[in-house]
Amino acid sequence: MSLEVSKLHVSVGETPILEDVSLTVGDAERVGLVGTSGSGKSMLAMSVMGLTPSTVRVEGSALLDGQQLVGASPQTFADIRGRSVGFVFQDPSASLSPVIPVGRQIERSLKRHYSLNSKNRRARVATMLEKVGLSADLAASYPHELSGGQQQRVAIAAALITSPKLIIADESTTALDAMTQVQITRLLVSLVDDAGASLLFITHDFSVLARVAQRSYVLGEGRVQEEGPTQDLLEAPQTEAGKRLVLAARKLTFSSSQSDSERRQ
Amino acid sequence: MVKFVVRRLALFCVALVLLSVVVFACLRILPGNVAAVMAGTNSTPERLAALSEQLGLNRSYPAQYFQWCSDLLHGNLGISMLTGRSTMSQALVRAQVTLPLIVLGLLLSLIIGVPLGVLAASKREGGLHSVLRYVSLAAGAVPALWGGLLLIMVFGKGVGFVGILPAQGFPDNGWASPGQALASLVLPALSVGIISGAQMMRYTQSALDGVAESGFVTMSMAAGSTRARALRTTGLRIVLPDLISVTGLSFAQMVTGVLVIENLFSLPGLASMLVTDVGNRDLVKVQSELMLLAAFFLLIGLVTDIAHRIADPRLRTASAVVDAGSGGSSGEVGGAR
Amino acid sequence: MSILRYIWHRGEGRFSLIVLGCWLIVCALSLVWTPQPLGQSDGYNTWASPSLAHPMGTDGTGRDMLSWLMAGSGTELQIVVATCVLAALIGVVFVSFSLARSGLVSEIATVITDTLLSIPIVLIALILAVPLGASILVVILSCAISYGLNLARIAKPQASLAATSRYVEAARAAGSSRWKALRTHVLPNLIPVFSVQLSICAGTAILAEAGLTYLGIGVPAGTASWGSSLSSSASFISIFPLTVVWPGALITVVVVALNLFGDCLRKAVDPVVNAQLRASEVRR
Repeated sequence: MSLEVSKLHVSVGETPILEDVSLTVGDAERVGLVGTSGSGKSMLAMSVMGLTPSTVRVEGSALLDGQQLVGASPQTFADIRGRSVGFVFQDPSASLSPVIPVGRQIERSLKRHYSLNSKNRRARVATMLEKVGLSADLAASYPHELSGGQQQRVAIAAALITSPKLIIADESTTALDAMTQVQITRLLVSLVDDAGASLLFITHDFSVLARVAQRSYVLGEGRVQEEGPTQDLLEAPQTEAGKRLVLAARKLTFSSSQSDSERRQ
Repeated sequence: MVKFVVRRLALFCVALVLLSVVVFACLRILPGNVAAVMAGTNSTPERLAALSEQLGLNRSYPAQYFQWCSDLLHGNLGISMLTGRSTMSQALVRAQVTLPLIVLGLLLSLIIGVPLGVLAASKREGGLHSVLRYVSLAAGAVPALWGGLLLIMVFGKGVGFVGILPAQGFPDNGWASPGQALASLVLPALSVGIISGAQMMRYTQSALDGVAESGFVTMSMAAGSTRARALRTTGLRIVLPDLISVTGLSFAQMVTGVLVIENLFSLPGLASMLVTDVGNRDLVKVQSELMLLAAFFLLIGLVTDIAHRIADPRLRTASAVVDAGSGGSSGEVGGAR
Repeated sequence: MSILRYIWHRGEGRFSLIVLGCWLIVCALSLVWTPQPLGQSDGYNTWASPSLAHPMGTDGTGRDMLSWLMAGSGTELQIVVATCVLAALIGVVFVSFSLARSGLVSEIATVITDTLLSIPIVLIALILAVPLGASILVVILSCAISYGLNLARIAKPQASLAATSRYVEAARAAGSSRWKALRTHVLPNLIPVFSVQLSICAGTAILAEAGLTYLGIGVPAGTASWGSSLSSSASFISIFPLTVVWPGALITVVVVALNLFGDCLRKAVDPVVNAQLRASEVRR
């Protein structure tokens, strides 16, 4: 599934957040979107998928397999999300509801979009849990009973249960420690490839991106500063914003023990 | 969870004992001799002595207190000095009006408050939002007595503009004629329920506003819901434990209004009995009645707390009596010393 | 002052300040002047419609409604002020106890706040009314006890945050006593929460006064109060509804104003509260 964003303007009141942003994610392509915090990278994904509050104004064009998303009705967005597009968010402890068993949260998009009986749904949840490397018994447990890594695996299971053709991962590994980060990234990439889906991977950490995306965009001050193959961007960034991000990523890799605590803050 | 229930039950008993002491003491610090107050100003010394003897007032306070407690535990609430009828049976008859009124009022308040609160929370701006906000503000600030009067003026049979509902009294044979009994409770329950519902609505809305921008609701939207639907399902489920607590509290808050409304609509409920007895200083009766009611509300508090626990899986495993949010605070201060 | 200015610059805040201001002015005015003397009742002119002599009409005994409502505003102010002061005191005492070093003391404080919370005001009032009879004191005490405990419960999480903050630890390390640390570092942190809650309590106290007075255990007969004006006309609703409109509408407007004031106050002090909460949270 392909996503074509062109000339996207996003503003809150009088304050512009994104200006003239264009970006494409091809069929079965893994694309990175990197930028410092506050560069508007999360806002890009949220606004294009109708997840922003109504106070946020979105203009321009965003085509999902040819379907115009800018200005679509809340119901249209709801029909797309969870069926064609899956999301993995930053902090699973802040996105998995603390009062609902994880199994029921994983099957939520199945329930919204497909008419399966509960037995079938449960079977799918069990398979999905095993795919993300968790025991099927965990379906009955609550998020607070799981570790951070397990929670993020649950979030990935919830995003992929309907086999969506586009996955948007928004800082999905940021809240995790370095070891878990690598595992989760690998898991996400392998699952996306198995399903033949596209991936938009949003992060502020260039070093993670190298493992994930063939092609990347550097976002700074609400605009796309640079784009190209991830490897080229990492080796020879052309713009200020790109250089800063690469430098930060190198520092992070060299002093990863320090970086853990920093990133978590 | 079991540990929590046990601890909470123990707490309930402690509070019950505390309250019984307070009630007992309040009725003993009364200026003048209890028997003298009850017997009236112009009674003979012989009659006073007889009454004191009969009530056990010659004995020491602790002895009186323990006698009263043991009577209470045996379900013996004493016999009214003025009417000569058993307090327990009288209270039970009266409760058949008051209790349905409270429950109906609470149901109405939930039926009105929660959906409107959800609606107000999902429409964050625009005309409807402001209208709902101001209506709830005004309705929540109406004195129960006045609210009841206005309803009578509109719907009361014989006096109202659309006089369709009975505005006075309760059928003589009580619930034996259920239709009539229910009809006579409609306006009173509405008076109480609308006011309490407005408060419930404000609470539901502010609780939902608190989670509307949270990752939980976004995640639910990401699975294929509109914002309104995500608030209705995921959002409401997250604030459910708090809503349960608030419902329990509004149970207690409604009671003043309920008693007022009972008087206004001339319903033969607990209100008229309590107020008459307090006015007559029928002390033996008042003492037991107040204790019985207090125990009832403590019980409601107990049930609310346990329901709150069950609704929040994070608390199910914890054993502390205090909420997780405020919990451990005393321990932390202790640890910081 | 800056908080008042903030409230004044919001539409709802301005409304609440104007209403509350009028209330105070009328209170002061009623001490020296009312349109008709309170004791005078016009026996031939009961349930009169509004006229020049009686701008709000008269009640069932021919008393001038406006004069009695004006006089009642003073009683109402007494009740509200006394209730708030007492409730704040009770709240502070219980918050302090719940932060006590001894586990038993804090446990008992928690038991009392958490369980007595489910006892309705009217029940407390009934218990108090037995020794006290119908009096303003019953209203004040029952409201103060109920709201004081509620205040303690609401303020407790914040108090314990403040109590474990680095300021308190530093002050303790510098040798100040627990009580001093509590007074200088914890209690000031509670002022925002308390002021917001108390302005809402004030509204509820007015409502409680109306209810308790109607039940005959509040303001005694013959004393002017909004609740007594409302109840005196309540029994004759079918005869003359217009008189009944005034006290009820007055109570509603004032209570709305107090609630809006509390809302604006909350917004005005919120950033401060949050900054303090954050500061102490880092420590945790």
